[in-house]
Amino acid sequence: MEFDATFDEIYPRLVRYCHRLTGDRDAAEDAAQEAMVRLFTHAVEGPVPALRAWAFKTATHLVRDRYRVDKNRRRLLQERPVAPARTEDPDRSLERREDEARARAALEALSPRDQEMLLMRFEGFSYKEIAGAVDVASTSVGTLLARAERRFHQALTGAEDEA
Amino acid sequence: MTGVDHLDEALLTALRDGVAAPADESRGRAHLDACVECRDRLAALEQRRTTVAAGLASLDTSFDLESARAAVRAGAFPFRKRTHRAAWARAAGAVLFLGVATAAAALPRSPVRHWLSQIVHSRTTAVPAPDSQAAGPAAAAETTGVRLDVPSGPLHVVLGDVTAGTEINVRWVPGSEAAILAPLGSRFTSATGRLEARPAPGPVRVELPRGVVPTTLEVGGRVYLARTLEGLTVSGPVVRRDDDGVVFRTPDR
Repeated sequence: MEFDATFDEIYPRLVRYCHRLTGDRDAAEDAAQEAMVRLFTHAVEGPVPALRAWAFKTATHLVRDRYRVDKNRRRLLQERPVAPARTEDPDRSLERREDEARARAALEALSPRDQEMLLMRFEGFSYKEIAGAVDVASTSVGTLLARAERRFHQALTGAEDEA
Repeated sequence: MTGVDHLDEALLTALRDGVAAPADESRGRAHLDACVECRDRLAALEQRRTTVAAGLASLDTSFDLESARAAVRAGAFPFRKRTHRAAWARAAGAVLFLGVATAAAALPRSPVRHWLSQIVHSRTTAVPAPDSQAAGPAAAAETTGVRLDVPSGPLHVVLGDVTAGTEINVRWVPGSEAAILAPLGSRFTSATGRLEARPAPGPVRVELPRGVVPTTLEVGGRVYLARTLEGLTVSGPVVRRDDDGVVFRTPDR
């Protein structure tokens, strides 16, 4: 398993997934990096899709175990950021921040499992991989995913989907 | 299309995403050929996918991938194991060196003797930290370290196996020399743009050249500090911070 190639193939999407899941930059980096460290230290073998699925599943469990315990943490961080002191992107417009807040609220309206499934699907995972990662029957994934997507869309746009 | 069983949302979504099972794919496509209503629903799902993807993308932010790469590498491979062959080669070289040195140094007034004296002295003298120097020679002898000239970034400084509760004093320094200074018994390695240490228990001082970016400090596989052109990100457990640096304390286990 070549380190750089495997890292480049998996980590960027993994940390994005974790960040979407947690809304917390530090938590996302912690979970994604620890999952990657475990991937290498456990010497997991297989093709890249299998390694990616393993890393996502590991990170998902880390997020579940550690970063969702206190749901208020993220809100507190947003309201009263303490550390690290980051430079705010000056080009980040008010509209962009409103979009982000709306999407965050829509995502949090879903159950944790639905969030994970939706986010993994939009990272390109197959139904079978999603089933393995979130511990549901693969025959249920299609129905659960369609429902999760509909609910997210409704919460995001306020539209009543008829599909 | 009264009386027709329309495709359900899950199958339409699977058809949209190209992940339907072969049998469902055939049945679904055949139905779509005949059903305007389901084609309209499929088109709506296409639009929904675009909206959802955009919504999720609005949550995204940028990450420092190089710092993460270094952190993962340090966590997964904290110190590369040396091969037996390389160790034997080093041992043989050391024996040969000592043999020649002993023979040369045995000659009275030999310039080799003087030169060897200087070499041995410089290699065994601890690199004193400025704070230790202020505390006197006894304190200076307690500290050892490693220095590395880094004309330009990136610079990765990695501390592994750090004792819980260790104070890590990070200082910005002028010039281009980075350093780790730690209690005697610490182990150090260095490579181009990279300094690593397994510090013995006690305070650690890290000197980072102020002008070198990007610079990353990782402790125990976690990024404590990252400095890029965009600015400084401090994500470790800060004890105090000033214009000249940051002091961390590793968490108690």
